[in-house]
Amino acid sequence: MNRRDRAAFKNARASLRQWAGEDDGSGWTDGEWRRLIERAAAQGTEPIQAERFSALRPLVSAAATLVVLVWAAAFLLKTRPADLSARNAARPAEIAAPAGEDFRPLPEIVSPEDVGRAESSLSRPAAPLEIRRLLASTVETPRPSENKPAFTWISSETGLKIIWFTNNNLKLEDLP
Amino acid sequence: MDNREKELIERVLAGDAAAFEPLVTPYRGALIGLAVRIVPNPEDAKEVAQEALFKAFRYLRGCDPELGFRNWLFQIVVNTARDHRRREGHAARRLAAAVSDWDRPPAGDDPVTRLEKSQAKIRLRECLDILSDREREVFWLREIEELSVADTARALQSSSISVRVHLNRARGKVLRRFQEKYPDMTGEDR
Repeated sequence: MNRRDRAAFKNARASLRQWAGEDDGSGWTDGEWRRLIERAAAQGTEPIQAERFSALRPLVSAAATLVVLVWAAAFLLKTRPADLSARNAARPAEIAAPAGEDFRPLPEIVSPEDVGRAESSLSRPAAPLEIRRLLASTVETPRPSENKPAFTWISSETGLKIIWFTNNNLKLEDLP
Repeated sequence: MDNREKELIERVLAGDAAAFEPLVTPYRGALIGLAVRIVPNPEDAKEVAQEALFKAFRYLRGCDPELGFRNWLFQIVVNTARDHRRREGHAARRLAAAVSDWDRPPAGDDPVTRLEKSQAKIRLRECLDILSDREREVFWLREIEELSVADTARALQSSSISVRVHLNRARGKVLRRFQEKYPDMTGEDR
């Protein structure tokens, strides 16, 4: 609103206030108003609900906290030993070679065909962990240039291979 | 809250119910005036104001001295009227307003006064009907009842920013309506 609008609005507001004043109290006659006051007074005052609730609030919150703590403690005590034993039971099975599996040591330097074959075998979920680890550590990958360290990671679940090339300061760099 | 109001409240809470009348009578017109801006049907507005008055007596112990009695009373009216509006629904409200006897001249005055009052009602309605419910509530409390922005926000349980936004919008709309309908009253005859 600019200055002119503000002045115009003030005049309009003065008219509105005057009209509101003329409309004042048309709802009740004097008799009605007095009866209304009597009826209101007859019901008496009472403490507001908020006051009653505010007195109970600390008790309610303490009880709720206690319930949550008891539930959490019960949950932890019940599930933790079972969870640990299940994890321990799973570990040897994961590390140990499946019965009857043939371990063939990989050659130190492998050809690209061997890499492809090894990778495709890794994509099978049943591939033993030792082979996957061996693959991850021994498979040589093409390097962009000499004297540039590279890190290879092969996913044990999917066989996905990721190679990071770094410069001599071990900072990652893009492929040329 | 002024000392007189504080004293009257204390008397009511101490059991002197007669002290309630001088406490609320200064707001007799304002109660209905505010209620009718939120619930346009005058009969409903009367009911709302009545219910608010009962609540004010019943829960007087909860009157916040920081808020002030008038603001607290307006807050009760606003809440009661909003509850009523929610219960009745938008369509019912519009229909009720359309068929109400809002424009009927009030009884008990001489014909000239009745005509003036009737015209005042019509003009008020013309200027405020263009506002949304929220804008009308804010505009009425701030510009007609002259509450501060902070008190308006408290009475409407809203933020000061929201009140300012609605107020600015409402002022613009009211001014445009005045310029269309009553250009002579804005001091800028066209």
